[in-house]
Amino acid sequence: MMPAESVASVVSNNGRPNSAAVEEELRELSRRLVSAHEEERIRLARELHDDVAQRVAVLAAELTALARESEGIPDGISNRIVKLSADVAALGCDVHRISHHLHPVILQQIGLGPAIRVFCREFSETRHVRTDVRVSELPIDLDKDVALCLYRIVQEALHNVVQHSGVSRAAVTLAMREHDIVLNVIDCGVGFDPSASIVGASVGLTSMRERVRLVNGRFSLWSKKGDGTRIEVRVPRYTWM
Amino acid sequence: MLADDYPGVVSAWQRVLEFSCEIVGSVSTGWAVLETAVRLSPDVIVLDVNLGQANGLDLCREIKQKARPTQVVLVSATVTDELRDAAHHAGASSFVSKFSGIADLESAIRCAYSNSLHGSAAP
Repeated sequence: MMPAESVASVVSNNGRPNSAAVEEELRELSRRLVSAHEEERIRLARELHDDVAQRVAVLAAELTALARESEGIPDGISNRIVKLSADVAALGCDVHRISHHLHPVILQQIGLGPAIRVFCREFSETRHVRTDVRVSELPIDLDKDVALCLYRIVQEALHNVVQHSGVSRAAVTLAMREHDIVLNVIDCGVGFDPSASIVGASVGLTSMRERVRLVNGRFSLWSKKGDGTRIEVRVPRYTWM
Repeated sequence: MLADDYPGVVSAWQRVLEFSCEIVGSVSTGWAVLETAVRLSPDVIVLDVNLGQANGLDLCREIKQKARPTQVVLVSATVTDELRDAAHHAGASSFVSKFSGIADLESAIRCAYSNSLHGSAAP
């Protein structure tokens, strides 16, 4: 709900809404919603990584040490300790993966291109959607908001492939074209009529559009029933361009 | 020397590694890592890739430049080929998963220590 002073500011003296002001208020609200969404994701990711994942790492280390120190105990018990250690290690990896999905620290560590390759590979393995990735060389000093936007688009678009396309193959391309970074996510699935309202898909598409708009980019969608779907995002290399 | 921002992880490593290594110190923040590495001049630093807000890969690069011949074993909850490449280019001796078990960590430390004795350094 918009604050009262914001509502008042968009209504002109004769009581009719000022459309430019309404649009600006909606853009600001949209920016705040995306920002709040990211902040919540970061908070959850930090809790998982800084607390839960670390405690699991300690458990895994302690169990390994216990297995090593347990000379003389029956093999059955020793084997169970080893198995527990492996299970805890796997749990730790899963917790870390969830944390990473919420907030991809890897973006800052290795950059957008490699981070997208990692995501697509893990996505292929866990969701059984073969994802072909082509990433060209990208600027080293890529704006972090642009990088996060594009990463989130890939996440959301591939999630839609699983939910709606009916196929198990997708393609992701990322390249520099003059001053823009161009991302495409394509599938050859069932497609849909973009003009029709589909609950769930609409929310995801709206979210993607808003993210792209916040970094001064352009979001395009092509889809036709029976003919697959292509999402293209063009974002200026720097958000202030 | 151990560098991780979670005290429980450092304690667990210390307890297990003390039988095979001499632990000369531990730090829990990024800003303390380089200063302590230069001061203590450890043979090997076990360094978490995510040390609070600090980027372990950047810290590794700095250590290789300013705290020679200290070798760096990077650890992370997740190990991917891309991270392994980035770790190699940052100068790390090896890159180990936090969940792969103490044996892997000890092996990585032994290899890094051998590198420090023979004066070899990753690019």
